[in-house]
Amino acid sequence: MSHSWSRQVAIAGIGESDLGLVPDKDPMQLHAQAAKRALEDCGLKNTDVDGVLTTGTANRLILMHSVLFAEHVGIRPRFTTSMQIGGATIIQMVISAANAIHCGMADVVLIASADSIRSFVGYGELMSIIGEGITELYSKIGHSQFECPYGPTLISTYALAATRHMHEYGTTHEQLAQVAVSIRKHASMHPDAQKREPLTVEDVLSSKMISWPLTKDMCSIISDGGAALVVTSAERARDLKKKPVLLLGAGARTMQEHVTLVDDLVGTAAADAGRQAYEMAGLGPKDMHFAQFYDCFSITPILFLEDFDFCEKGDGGRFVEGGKRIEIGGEIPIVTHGGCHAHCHPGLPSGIFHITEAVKQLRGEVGGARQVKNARVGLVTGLGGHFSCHTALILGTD
Amino acid sequence: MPEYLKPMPVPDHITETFWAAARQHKLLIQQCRDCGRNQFFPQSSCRACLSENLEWVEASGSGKVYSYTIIHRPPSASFEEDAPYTVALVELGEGVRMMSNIIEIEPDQVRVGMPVHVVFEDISPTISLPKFRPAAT
Repeated sequence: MSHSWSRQVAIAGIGESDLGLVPDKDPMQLHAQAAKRALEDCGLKNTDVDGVLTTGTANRLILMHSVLFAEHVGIRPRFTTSMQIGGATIIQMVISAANAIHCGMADVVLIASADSIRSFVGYGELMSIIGEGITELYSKIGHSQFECPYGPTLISTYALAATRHMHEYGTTHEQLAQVAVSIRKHASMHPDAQKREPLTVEDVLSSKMISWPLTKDMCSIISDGGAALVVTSAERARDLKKKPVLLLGAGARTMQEHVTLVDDLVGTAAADAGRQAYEMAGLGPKDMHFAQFYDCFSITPILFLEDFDFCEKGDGGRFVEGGKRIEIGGEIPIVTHGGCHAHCHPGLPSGIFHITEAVKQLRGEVGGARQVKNARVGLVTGLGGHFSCHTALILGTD
Repeated sequence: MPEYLKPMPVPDHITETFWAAARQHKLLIQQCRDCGRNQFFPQSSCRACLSENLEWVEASGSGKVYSYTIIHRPPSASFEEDAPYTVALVELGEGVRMMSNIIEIEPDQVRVGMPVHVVFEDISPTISLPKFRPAAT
């Protein structure tokens, strides 16, 4: 059974909040600011929106987040919920918006995600309950009886994959570092990126060891901020202010939750999400002009180059060596905004910038050295949890 | 025994048999009586066929390091005195994986594929935590 919405749904508007260090806005203000900018971008009003999707924030006291947000911005949606599958969530929300639009359950869906995990503005109530333990609360991951007693961290999940990849395929520490160097190079060209100073492989390798083989510069940064997307039918989007960015294909696969139960740490189910997306779009990796891989840690772009078929399994480390092939002007520029490594990583929302960047690239709005020349089709990927949830989205212009 | 500040497993109705055996320094895994699969960590039903007809079997305690990482920045203050320490996924001879620490070896000497054997650390009067050390060669 196929009722594909390929090329029939579009991202019509995008908006980003203030990013980086934002000590004067709580998460709801960041959501509202991004939403206002996204609506202005496409020329729609809040009253035109009848679908609202949010991720919610790290504040676990808030229930029904999408409803609170809709109230805050004067929207009375037909279709609304909050979704949470980690760094795979934003693409899953775009897929859900497309489904709702395609079957007539919504006309205009506003997706918004923002948080304040650097400044923790507005977290007073939560902190009054859990006190100084907030960082400890969010770094506690894993099975309480069979993982936590051994002291793992979220980072260690990705370190386990990196170690295994080094063992099986001869991937080197320098190759891992190159991923961070190339991504930082892109961030250095982005006026809004949080970390813009160029890095060398030596810099990355000599930054603080966090969880061998991952050093600090191979990990996500911590930020405040967020963004919003306006999704509607391609037909309606063509009448709005900006060039529509069409959803060409999408795919998703969720595996296990715990890292103990990962089938294969070096061959992820991103390959399955990718196959679905390529098939729906009728395109392949050679057709992609960029790949906004979810880059929470430097090992993931190496895995994704393989799993999304830009190179053979095991060749990802060699593919990134020297950086030329993955940088702007190269074979497949990755993470052109600087990603979780250097642009903005407010936790759950961070994957939304991989989409806003893809949209800007496809509209040709980036300009300057960071603009991928003649970008017409691009891949965005999401990854949540412990290699748990994989999502893929292919975007393109008419 | 000094006060143990790291996360302590709290046995529940599903896992109390596992922890009681661990206290006797025996490593138990679950085996499905219907589909025959081995399962770790334990839960109330088989993750492959959903059968609740599970039995506990004693594992040999021998395995190999599937992968490892050396934690320099621990998740909480209670692990700081141990850092750097090794967190590994150990593949048991029975085909299941466990997360654990590799002890009695310098972290930078641990290798993927290294044969290891279970050893129990008595961390409280009731809880013994399975860890792994290099297998005697």
